[in-house]
Amino acid sequence: MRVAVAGAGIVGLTCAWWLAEAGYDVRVFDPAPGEGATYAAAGMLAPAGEAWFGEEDLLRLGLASAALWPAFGRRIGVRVARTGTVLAGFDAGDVAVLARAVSLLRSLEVPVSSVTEPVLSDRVAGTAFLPGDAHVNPRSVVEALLALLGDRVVRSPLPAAPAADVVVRCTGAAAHPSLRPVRGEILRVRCTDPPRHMVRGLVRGEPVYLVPRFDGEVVVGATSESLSDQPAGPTVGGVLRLLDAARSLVPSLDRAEVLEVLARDRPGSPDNGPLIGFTGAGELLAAGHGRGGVLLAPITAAAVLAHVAGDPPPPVVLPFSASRFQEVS
Amino acid sequence: MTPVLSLELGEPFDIGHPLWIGTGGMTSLATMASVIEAASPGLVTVSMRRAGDLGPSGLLAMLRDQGVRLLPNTAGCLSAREAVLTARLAREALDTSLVKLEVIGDERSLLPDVVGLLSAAAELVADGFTVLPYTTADPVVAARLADLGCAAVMPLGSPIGSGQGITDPAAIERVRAAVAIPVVLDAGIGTASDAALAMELGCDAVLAATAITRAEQPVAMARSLRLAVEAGRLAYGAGRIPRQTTARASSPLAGRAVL
Repeated sequence: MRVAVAGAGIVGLTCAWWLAEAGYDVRVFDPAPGEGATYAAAGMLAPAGEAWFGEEDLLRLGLASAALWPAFGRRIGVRVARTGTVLAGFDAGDVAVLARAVSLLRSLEVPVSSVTEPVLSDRVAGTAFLPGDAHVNPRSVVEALLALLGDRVVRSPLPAAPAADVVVRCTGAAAHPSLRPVRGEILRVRCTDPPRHMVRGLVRGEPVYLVPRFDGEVVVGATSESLSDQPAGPTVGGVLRLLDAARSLVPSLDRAEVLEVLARDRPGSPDNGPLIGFTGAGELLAAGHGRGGVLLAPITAAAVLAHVAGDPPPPVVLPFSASRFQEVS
Repeated sequence: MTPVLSLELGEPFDIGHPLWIGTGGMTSLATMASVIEAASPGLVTVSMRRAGDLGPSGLLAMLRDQGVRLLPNTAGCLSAREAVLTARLAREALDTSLVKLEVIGDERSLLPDVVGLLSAAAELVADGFTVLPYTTADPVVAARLADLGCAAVMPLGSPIGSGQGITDPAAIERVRAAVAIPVVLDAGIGTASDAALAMELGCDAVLAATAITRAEQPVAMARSLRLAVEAGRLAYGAGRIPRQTTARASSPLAGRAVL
């Protein structure tokens, strides 16, 4: 069976590789593979830190996908770094907000413990530790998948009449009318004293995360805004808020070298969960992953493969059907 | 320079239901939609920060589909100039001359810059806007805003997002007494009793955003605030008894058995 995948971001490429491994004849179409939201993604495999009241199904989806990552990483030769996440509240109010999130996690039986993170400021009022969290470098994942897929990746848009039995649309916000672009800004910096763990903090209400890569590089992210008149690149206000919050948590970042500042649009869905499933005969949708594209890529690919093969998809994917916002379109 | 007042009136200003809702802090569009459906607020205020989220699947399209009245706000503007520009862009984008005017004087406390607020309000009133300024709970500033031709004043109960409720109820009463235009309590609401108190103090409406959007159950909190503003308004109109320093028996003491 021939499958055409539209979009070579982390989701499209992972779906394509998963299908290719299962023996399908796959082509991926994208004029600029890996240069969309994936290019700015921090690669946190950290569903617990994003958990929120009313989004328990999304947490379960994230945990299921995180569990697939170690084996997936080994297969494609990309290191999954299991550093865990330190949740850090800068002032007493921030700690109160984090304490709510921690009690939600405990009620959902997600392990929460404590840890020492030496680079955190003494002024940080409180911390908790999510030992299960990990991260990958999304650009390495894209590089590995592009190499493995070789000439099955076509650097052009999906043709109007693709020679395929099934089309899988993974083009982010453009893939479905219920999706919208949600701008995110991040920085990459390099320092001599990076955090050992991922850090997800709240600084006077301002959320920020730090993801340590290898050789001292740290990703600082991320803003989240839906506005119709954003400039193409990052904004002064966004960068200021991120750096102010990040340096409050980790004062030694003051001397870090700024390597890159960039902005990309994530595909936002109405309920923050992805849209995965058939939208018509031979038409599959796998889009709207918001902040969770990297995390959710493996479970999405597993679900897409099940749909293509006519098998039941993993149960955790069922709340995220592609048809649940039909009335919007 | 004193601006020349426009002879053209802004659009007639109707408070609608006294619960107003802000979208700030919302965790998802779907949750926001359920909140608005459950609470049927008199107005829904949206941050414009220039043009807002105007896309076909964005927040403004959703609110329009729901048929709610929109109150664009200038949240995040740090100068009168920026706030005026944002208000003008909002008027163009949303086709309403209503604006909730915010000029933030300090990014940590998010307290209003009343100097910038007065000058922006004067400029926008002169330009035909129906101006609803977010202000400190200061009766003199409130009176000055009313003098400028603002359609309502929106004093803060406590700092934005703090959930402390109304930390100085007497100040809100002084603002109420200082102006004839509507008073809408803005900022600080944490839970239903705060909203009821605002109405008991004589406010005409209550705006809540974070109290709802960051509650564990936003729909339930929105419903509770709707009931609370209705209860508070009834209580205000019902004429509460005076506070006494000693007990006043509610049953007559006369006619007790003499032993």
